[in-house]
Amino acid sequence: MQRTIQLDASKLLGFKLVPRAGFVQIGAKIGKVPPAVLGAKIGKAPPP
Amino acid sequence: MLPSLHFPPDPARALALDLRMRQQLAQSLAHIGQSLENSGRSLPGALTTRIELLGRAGLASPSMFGLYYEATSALLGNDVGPGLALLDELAGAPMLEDRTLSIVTFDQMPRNQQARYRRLMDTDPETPFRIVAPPAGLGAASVGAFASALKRLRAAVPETVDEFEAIIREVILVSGDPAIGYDFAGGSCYMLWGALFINVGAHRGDIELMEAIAHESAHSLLFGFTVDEPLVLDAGTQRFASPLRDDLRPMDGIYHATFVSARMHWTMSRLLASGELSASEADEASARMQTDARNFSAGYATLRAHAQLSATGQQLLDGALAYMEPYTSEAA
Repeated sequence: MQRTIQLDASKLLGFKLVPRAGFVQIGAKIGKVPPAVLGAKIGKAPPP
Repeated sequence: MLPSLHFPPDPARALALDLRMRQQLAQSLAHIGQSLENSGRSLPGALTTRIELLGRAGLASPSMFGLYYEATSALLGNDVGPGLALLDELAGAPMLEDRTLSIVTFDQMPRNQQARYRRLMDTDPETPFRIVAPPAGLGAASVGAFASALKRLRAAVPETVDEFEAIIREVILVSGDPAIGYDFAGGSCYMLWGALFINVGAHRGDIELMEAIAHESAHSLLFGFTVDEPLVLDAGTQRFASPLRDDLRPMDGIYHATFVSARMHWTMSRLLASGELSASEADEASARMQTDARNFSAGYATLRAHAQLSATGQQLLDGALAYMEPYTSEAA
């Protein structure tokens, strides 16, 4: 019988960076990763 | 052993950061594998092999990191089917054979890889970032121009390029989707470790390209420092004026912009000192140094007033400030 997959975010590259206030409980859903930490850093071109 | 947090480029440290990132990927996949077994499922055999290779310093592509993040997000969100399918795909992704830098245009990548890179770069709901291939006919020229600028930078400031090539595996030349309504110079993403995007239309000449290399590689360097803790401890809900963007940014973005401005200044100053620039290029580099100094000062003022820095963030910023202080007093 298959059981729920329980992941510990503190053991997962990138997902350890979730702020303490929103720290993941084992098995909880966190949805999309926080863009400010893991998302793209985009260098906007200066205006002409 | 934790890496040193000193400011100047350090190729050996960059190699260590890259190794750590790959080892962390291996450990994370091993944890996922154990969790799957505990749940009555099994990890694909080929993925077990990938984990072993990564653990022995095998080279992972940016795609492998992207697949890991998408698979893990799915599993954490209880989307088990998609998560397992992504792990299967990761299991089939080839390891890199060596550290040779790949410089390609967006359309030279397989379509599913293009889609994945698009998704992972377009993660900020406040700032859509949609990339397309460079205009037809510009591809070969843009690859050549980037390679040429990198070669010039290596001759003039070798430590910057050695550090760059310790971390960056792929340079992907792109254009911005005209529908997004703004232009960008380049981009990179924590979830695509080792990839760097350069907008072919945003750089006029070698000085701008060389500064872009310093800019984008500094972002990647900061990613490498933030395995165990972020740079700033702010919740990320407030927005502040950024020295490098015209839209308001979270504190993590302000931090990045401030640090990379210092690194851009450093690179321009070393280029000037190299004697490798023409007179007009030297004027251009000098002007950019002044802009970088102003941008650093603006970002630093925001950080000092509002940021809650982690220990890593504080030490890195202290190093940047120590370098910039003589120039910011002149720029003030």
